[in-house]
Amino acid sequence: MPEPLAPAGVRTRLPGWLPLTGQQAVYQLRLLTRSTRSLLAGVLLPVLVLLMHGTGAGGRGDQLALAGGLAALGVASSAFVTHASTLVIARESGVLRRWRMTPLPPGCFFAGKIAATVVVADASALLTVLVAALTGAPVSAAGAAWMLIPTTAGALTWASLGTAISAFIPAAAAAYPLLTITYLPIMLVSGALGTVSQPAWLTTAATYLPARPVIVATAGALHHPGSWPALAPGQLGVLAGWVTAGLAAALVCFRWDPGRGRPPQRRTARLRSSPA
Amino acid sequence: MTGTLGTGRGTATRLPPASAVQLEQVCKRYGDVSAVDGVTIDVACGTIVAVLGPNGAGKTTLVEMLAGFVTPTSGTVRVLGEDPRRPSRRWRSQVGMVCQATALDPQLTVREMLAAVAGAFPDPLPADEALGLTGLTGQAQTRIQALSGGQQRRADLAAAVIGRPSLLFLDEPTTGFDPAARRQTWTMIERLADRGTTIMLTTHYLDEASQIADRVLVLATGRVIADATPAALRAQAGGTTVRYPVPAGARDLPAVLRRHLGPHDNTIIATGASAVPVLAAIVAWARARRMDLSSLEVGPPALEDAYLTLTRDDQMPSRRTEPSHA
Repeated sequence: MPEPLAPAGVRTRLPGWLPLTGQQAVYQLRLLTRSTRSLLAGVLLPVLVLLMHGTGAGGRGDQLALAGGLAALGVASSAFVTHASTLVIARESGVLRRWRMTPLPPGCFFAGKIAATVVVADASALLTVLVAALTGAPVSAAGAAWMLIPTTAGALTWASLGTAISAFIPAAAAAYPLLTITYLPIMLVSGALGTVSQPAWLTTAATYLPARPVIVATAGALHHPGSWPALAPGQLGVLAGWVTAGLAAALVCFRWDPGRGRPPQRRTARLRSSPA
Repeated sequence: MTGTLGTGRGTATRLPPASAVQLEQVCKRYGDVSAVDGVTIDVACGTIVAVLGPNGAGKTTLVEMLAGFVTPTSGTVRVLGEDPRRPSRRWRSQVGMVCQATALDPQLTVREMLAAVAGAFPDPLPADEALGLTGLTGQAQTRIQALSGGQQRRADLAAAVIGRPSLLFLDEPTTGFDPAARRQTWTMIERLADRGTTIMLTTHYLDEASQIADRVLVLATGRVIADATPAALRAQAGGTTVRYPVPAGARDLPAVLRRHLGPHDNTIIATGASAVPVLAAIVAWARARRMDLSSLEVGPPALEDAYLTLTRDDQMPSRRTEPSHA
């Protein structure tokens, strides 16, 4: 005779939104830090570019501009590519559906996941400027700390855009290529690797894309730590616009289920039977 | 037609509605394909219902509609008194599901995964108990990616039951399990049902349905072609079953035997009031060809025989055994 199951407790109230969001953030952070691909894409990419490029050349402003640009590159890579691709993978593997079947409110899921993404993105930015400092860039601790304001704003922006775009990526295998060709050109025309020769209209257009304000504000924070505001009103307005657009698109288009609307597969297979 | 079978094994502690699942003329079409076609069922709380049917019969679509992942084209679906397309958090805390494919994050240990899922529920089972129920106590600290396929299915099952669901949907839950793990899962399902949990499972394993289900629904081309207890289905199949796997390469079966040949395997399965005519034909045919009859079986029909009789032709007209009220 099997033992009876543990009796139901007296706790019948559903857990609150705040603890659920906190638990989800810890859970997602654990996933991100155990994923080699996400660490490579978000943390090591800017550091490798930094080591290859070097920061010793040029004046103080050039060195800090490069460190800031690469920190912003790491933020975009973590908060856009990694965040969106992990959503696609989780959707395709049925993990999103698993969460949808629990009483976890969707808002808590996204808040927790985005919070974890912001932590990893900020860690990537800090690691990048640390390596920049070790290779000769004049980065101060105050500058690195002040930088977290624009990088956090940038991570939130890219994560909201990544959440939206994940709905349009058909399969996990397509996620990395599609996301990379989406964000990398934007980072380049926005000056993540320094000023590039490009038409004036492209430079103007870049100021309205989500990368440029973060790159400029990050370099500014490293150069003048403590100067307020860390993000100029114009930069903040651009980012707020992208966050709003991203969240609105995510609200309308996000899919929890990999196969909604697809006809079921008709397979001809033998009946599996086993001896009684 | 609607049938209600059984009043359940135990007393549901958190379920106000008498029926856990109610479907009224539910259809789901994908273009020209009718995945579910006019299904009407009523499942009493605390029962174990097995949904059988060949691949493409509509089993998974049916379960996904009940879980709220698929919107019916027409008809009414009520699960625990609510429309699953607009579920409340409370509703979600009372429903568990194991999908056909394992859906877990591979980077976590089993215990970490269970702790994360448990955190969303108001009164979850202790993780150790969920691990014990599914036979994963020894794998608690193992990352999911390092588990075997069967162990991953059990981890999925542990995640589905950790919230103490009132209603549990299991889509082919024991696929990939070894015999011992299957029997352990059956025991777990029966224990959950004893506590009042309603369980709807799809399965291809007829022994599984025969062993644990209070009620069997057989689907074919989206329609319910049988709805009865396993015993009633067996009885429906007739008095005696003759089963004979025809040896490979054997030809020239007489027409009286060919019509009993299964569509997917080369086995004669004939069920009827008298086995004598079929037996006589087999013996005569085998004697003329000096064939071996060591694999010939004669006995009462199994659930599998009833199932194969029902599903031999997906286009057959709907037939249904009126369920008895337990």
